[in-house]
Amino acid sequence: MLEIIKNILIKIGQIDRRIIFLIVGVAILIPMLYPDFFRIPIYASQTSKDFFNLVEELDDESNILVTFEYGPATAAEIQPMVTSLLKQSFYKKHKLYLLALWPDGKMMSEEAIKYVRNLSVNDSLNSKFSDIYSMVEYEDYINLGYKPGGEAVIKGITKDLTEKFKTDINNRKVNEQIIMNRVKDDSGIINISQFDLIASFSAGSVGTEEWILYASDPEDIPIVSGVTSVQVTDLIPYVRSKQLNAILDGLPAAAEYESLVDDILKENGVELVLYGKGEGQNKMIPQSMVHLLIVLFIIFGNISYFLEKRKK
Amino acid sequence: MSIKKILPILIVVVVGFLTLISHFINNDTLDTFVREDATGWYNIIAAFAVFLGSLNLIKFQSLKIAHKKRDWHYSILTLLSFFIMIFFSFFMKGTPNSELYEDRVNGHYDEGEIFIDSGKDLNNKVIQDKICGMDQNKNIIWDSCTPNPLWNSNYGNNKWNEGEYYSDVKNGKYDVGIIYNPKWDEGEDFIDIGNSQYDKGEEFIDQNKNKKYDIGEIWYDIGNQKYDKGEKWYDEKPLYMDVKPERFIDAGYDSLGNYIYDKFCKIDESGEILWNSCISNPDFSYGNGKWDKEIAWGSHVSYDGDNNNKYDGFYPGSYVKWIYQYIYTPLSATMFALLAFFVASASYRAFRIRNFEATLLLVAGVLLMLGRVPLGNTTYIPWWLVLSIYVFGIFALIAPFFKNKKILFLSIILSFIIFGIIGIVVGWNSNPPEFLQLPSIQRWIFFNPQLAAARAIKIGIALGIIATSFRIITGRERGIFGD
Amino acid sequence: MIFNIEIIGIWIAVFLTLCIFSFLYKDNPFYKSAEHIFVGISAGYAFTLSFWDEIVPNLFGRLWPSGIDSNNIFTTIWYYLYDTLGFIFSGFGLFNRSIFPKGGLDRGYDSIDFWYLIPFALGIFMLFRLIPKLSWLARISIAYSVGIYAGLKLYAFMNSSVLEQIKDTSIDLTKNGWGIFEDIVIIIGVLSSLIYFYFSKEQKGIIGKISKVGIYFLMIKFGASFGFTVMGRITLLIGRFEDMIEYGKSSVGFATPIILAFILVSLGLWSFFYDSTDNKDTDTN
Repeated sequence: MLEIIKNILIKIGQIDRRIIFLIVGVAILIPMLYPDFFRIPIYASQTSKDFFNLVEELDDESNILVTFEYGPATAAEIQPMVTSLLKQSFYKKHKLYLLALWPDGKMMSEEAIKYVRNLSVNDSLNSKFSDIYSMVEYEDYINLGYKPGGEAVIKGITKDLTEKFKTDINNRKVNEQIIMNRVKDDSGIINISQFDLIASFSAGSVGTEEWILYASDPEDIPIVSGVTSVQVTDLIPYVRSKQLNAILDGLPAAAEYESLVDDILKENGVELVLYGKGEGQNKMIPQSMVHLLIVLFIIFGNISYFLEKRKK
Repeated sequence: MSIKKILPILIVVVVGFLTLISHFINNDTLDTFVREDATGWYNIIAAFAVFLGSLNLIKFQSLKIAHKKRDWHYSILTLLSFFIMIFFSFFMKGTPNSELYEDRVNGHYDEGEIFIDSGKDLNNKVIQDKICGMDQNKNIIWDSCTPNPLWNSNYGNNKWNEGEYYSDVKNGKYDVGIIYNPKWDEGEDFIDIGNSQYDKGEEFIDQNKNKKYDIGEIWYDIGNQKYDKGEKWYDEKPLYMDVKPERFIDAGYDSLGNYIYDKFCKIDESGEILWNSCISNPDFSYGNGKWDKEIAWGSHVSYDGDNNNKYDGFYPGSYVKWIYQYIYTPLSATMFALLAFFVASASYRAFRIRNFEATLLLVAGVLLMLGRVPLGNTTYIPWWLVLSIYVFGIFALIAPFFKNKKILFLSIILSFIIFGIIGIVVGWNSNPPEFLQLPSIQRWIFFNPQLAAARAIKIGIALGIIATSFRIITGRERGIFGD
Repeated sequence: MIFNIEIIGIWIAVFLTLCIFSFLYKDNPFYKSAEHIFVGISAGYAFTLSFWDEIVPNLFGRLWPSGIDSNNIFTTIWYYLYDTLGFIFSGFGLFNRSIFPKGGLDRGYDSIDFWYLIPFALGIFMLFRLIPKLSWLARISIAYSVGIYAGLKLYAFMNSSVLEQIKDTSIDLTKNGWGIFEDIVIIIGVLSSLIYFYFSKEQKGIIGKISKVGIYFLMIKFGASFGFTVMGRITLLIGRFEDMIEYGKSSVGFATPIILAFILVSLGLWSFFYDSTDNKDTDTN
């Protein structure tokens, strides 16, 4: 009997990889098709709490520079983080200054604003998020658009933002907008030291590391970041040395941060109905399933390997 | 050594040193060059490098087709897709033209022009937010506009309203407004008075012999035939025109994708629209109520028509944007996502515990994968399972000291029983300690040993970059020229 | 479902996505076609972006800004050259003057900056790489790029990646016992890992033992990187599946199931009729 089991396990270890692909595909598909059967509560980790608390503890109406360095390919990981930051900021009445260093980032910023604006609230009036929290362009936020040049743009912004961003996404002169008066110094120049926080969302280079190297470190401005999982291990040394004040590492952190923001809004009587690319929590179910699957694969693979080794 | 070899090395050394010393020398010219121009030039050269790559691609794919090498048919697809992208980027935008408008003043329509916001102050008096000057041709000098210190942002509404003053600037753009110039201009009458302060040109007794007027020195105050601040003046013919907002034909796309207009208008013999003849198109509900101008070349690359169309069924953006959204993005995202399957397959077929290092790698990977997701919580991964990891790990390290495998096996079982009983008695079932929670273990590993190694790698890479940069700047690195 | 260009786009997106996924079965014509299309489109898109976002505003916009009065012969000749280029690049008048519109480029510059002829020349030199006799000129452009980058990165990396990181690798004695222990672990990890990378001395004796400890820390790091890479890739896959599910609805004509069925049947037929002995390297086992 034992011998039969051993042989089965050895055979399983030599299974065609296409069967493995199929199992992975099914493991992702089933929870996505039937999300209600697989509800897993989200527990916020300390990294997500740090990010949330940092934004929460800023004075109301603080000035936050939000930067977009990712595209549609990585939007599944990063967009939930961005939309959650927008929700928390508009709730706290922070003023947001959006800019993109990637061409796709401009589109992502517009999509994020549109998504948050149209979020439905679970109330009798079918309200939208923008009906409850003010989201007026040029009063609560401004979208400066995209500027090519990478690090040169960051360096330029540290001296004078309007040198790089003369007009915004709607082709209006940046210098003349009322919201920009909040970040002008005594001589009327807008530079990066006037911002209370930089929030960088990046999927590669140019990204968070460049903002730390050329803006946050030299000008001593707090910076938080949301990045893809692949980049996280390289940025952790900056977190420890406090060059990066808080980080959201991939989709799990996005889901945790989203749940923290939703909870605080719920405490204030606003329950949101989430959908689409902006919702991170639903994606955690297939993510968890596949993680478990891969761990089981590793265990079974090694069992099969040891049995085969013994047999030989 | 020939000039072909010396010149590049010389350039590397000069440019590299200049850039490096700019951080240590306080010189505006150098600072501006390094901060602005040097990196700008670099980006331009990098763009040409991209062109080089594209030309290389064309060259190699063409050679493949010409020599009918293996899979040459697919090279045709590569070249075709490349040239289609180039065609829509440079020759056909696919975005709508400018909407037609009524040209009242200056031949061009523009929207979003600066205007003078006005409202009523606390005494119900009309007040404006800016005070602007005009030049001799009665053109507004927008740079001269200064905020009115008496203005309060609560007075106006920050948008142009019918009747508010606005600037009609002959600058090739549409305006909606009137100029009002509450400043003295050259030529306007003024009452020239001695103004009790020194003005340039007035005589003075140079007491300290420094050839310039100093406070306290006696001077002869005269009317100086030029305007001095504070003198009364007459604002000559404030220029205004009773200009109503210019009319335009709003347009959008209907459900069948036809470009449809909100008005039907007659045109005269010269092709000019007779605006008074226009009647509304009863089938129209597709525009956005504002004048839209043609999307410029360059902006069309990322234009997705959001501002131009109420109807979402028809794709109003440029052709390049369409290709980007429906061909490039799905392909690139899927290429990345494909790796997930191969990672899973590699985990199963190749990830083997062959030695201690491989085991460490595997355990770290597994703990991080499980600990980072909600499934790693104590609800699903109980404390005793985590305890078993500790027990197995400790015994794996001390196993070489056990001669008798039976004793080793019994020790493991005994450890499980002892710690299990302790756990139940102490109440770990309901409230497990942090060191028996997978997320806490994951976090500790992530922020301590993992961080240490990541930091070492980061320092190592940085030192490598610094050393290589030094070698490059001092001209010792020759391999960089790609020979 | 209204048949329009957006729906066509969705069907094409689904088709290309499933073509890429078909590689999971075997390397096949669907995958190869999608891959080659991707290469072509990517190259074209990179070309487009580089040109419109960098060359036109930052190079041509400075060399030929609009609103300049032709008040001297040199400016007149300069803009005549501009018009000639505009004529050539509009297909000799067949198409719109997209790259060089009449009157110059309005990119916010009010004077001609002739210094930018230098990067223009360096850029052209870069292209000469394709011509063997003139390829040495590309070295000049590479020299400039490498020189600038070396100078910039040296300072930035020295400050942020070395000094700050070393500063943080210290024991904070104000922390509690556990905090001090963690700091010690980090110091040991950083030092031992750095010693592992020190190849100027043979790794034996005490150096060998310390570098062994460093290897253990590095293995933990690689395990963590593996875990996070898996996480990231799975997330991207979830994103694709989300799109596929969205495009399988009736509003877009059940694109996903129909195209999936088509590809499966085609792959089946291709496997059956295609002579697999010609392509031994497609064996996935």
